Amino acid sequence: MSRLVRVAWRLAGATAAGRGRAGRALSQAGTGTGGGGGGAEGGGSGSGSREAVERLVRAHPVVVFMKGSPAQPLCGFSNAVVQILRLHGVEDYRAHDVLQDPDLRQGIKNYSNWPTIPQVYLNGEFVGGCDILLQMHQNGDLVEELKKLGIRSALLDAEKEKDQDKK
Amino acid sequence: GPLARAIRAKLDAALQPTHLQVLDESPRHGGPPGAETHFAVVVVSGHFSGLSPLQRHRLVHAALRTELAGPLHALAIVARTPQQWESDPHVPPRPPCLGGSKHERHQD
Repeated sequence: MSRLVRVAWRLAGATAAGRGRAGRALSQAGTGTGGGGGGAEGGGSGSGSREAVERLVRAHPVVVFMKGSPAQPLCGFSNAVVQILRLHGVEDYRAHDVLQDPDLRQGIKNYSNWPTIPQVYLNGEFVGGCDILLQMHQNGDLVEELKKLGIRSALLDAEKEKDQDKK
Repeated sequence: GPLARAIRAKLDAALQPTHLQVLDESPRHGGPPGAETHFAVVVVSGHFSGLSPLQRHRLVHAALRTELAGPLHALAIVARTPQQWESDPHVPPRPPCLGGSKHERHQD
């Protein structure tokens, strides 16, 4: 059980190289903010509107709003979320870099009524930030929540291997 | 500093904690000492009883709404009931900073 309890913070970089598939930020794929760093768009149809955010959180069972990307997190708390998901073998998820999109950054805070980044959504539902995800990881809740989404946590297999070794 | 005092006062008033730690972690995030931008709070309060972690964190956010709309840039929260704190008075290690603030084009 010790692996469930202790999380060793690994900094992204060498280990993440080559995992290009993990969470290309959709906000970079041109949801309306156009080329690099263009001006902030107004409310209604902007990338930070409730409708736009709703679409993003519902697009995939696991959606993360963070600073930087899974391959290159730019904030320790965002990196923590990426590391925890990685520990559970969750590599296929949607990650959105709010540093690339100020409208989205504000929009996601309004949507969840939560003041900080990162934000984790499971099945379209806001679950919490880094602290809460860490708690869920440590107390086994994350394994359960992933199971409900049809995702089998890699830690279950790790535990199984350990038990088999004991026999 | 002043923000630390404000945070402490607001949490005291809102949650009557039996144990409260307010830590300015700004130096760990690239800021100068006393920058008061990134804080960690450990709040032990009976108010948390029966509430999910999400609900507990929202209570803390509500108490600090003004600060979070202003200078408080990041807030790490440990929220436990007195019983939980008694059986586990330890705080998980903080993730290392990756210099996120330096990547911001302008203040948020």
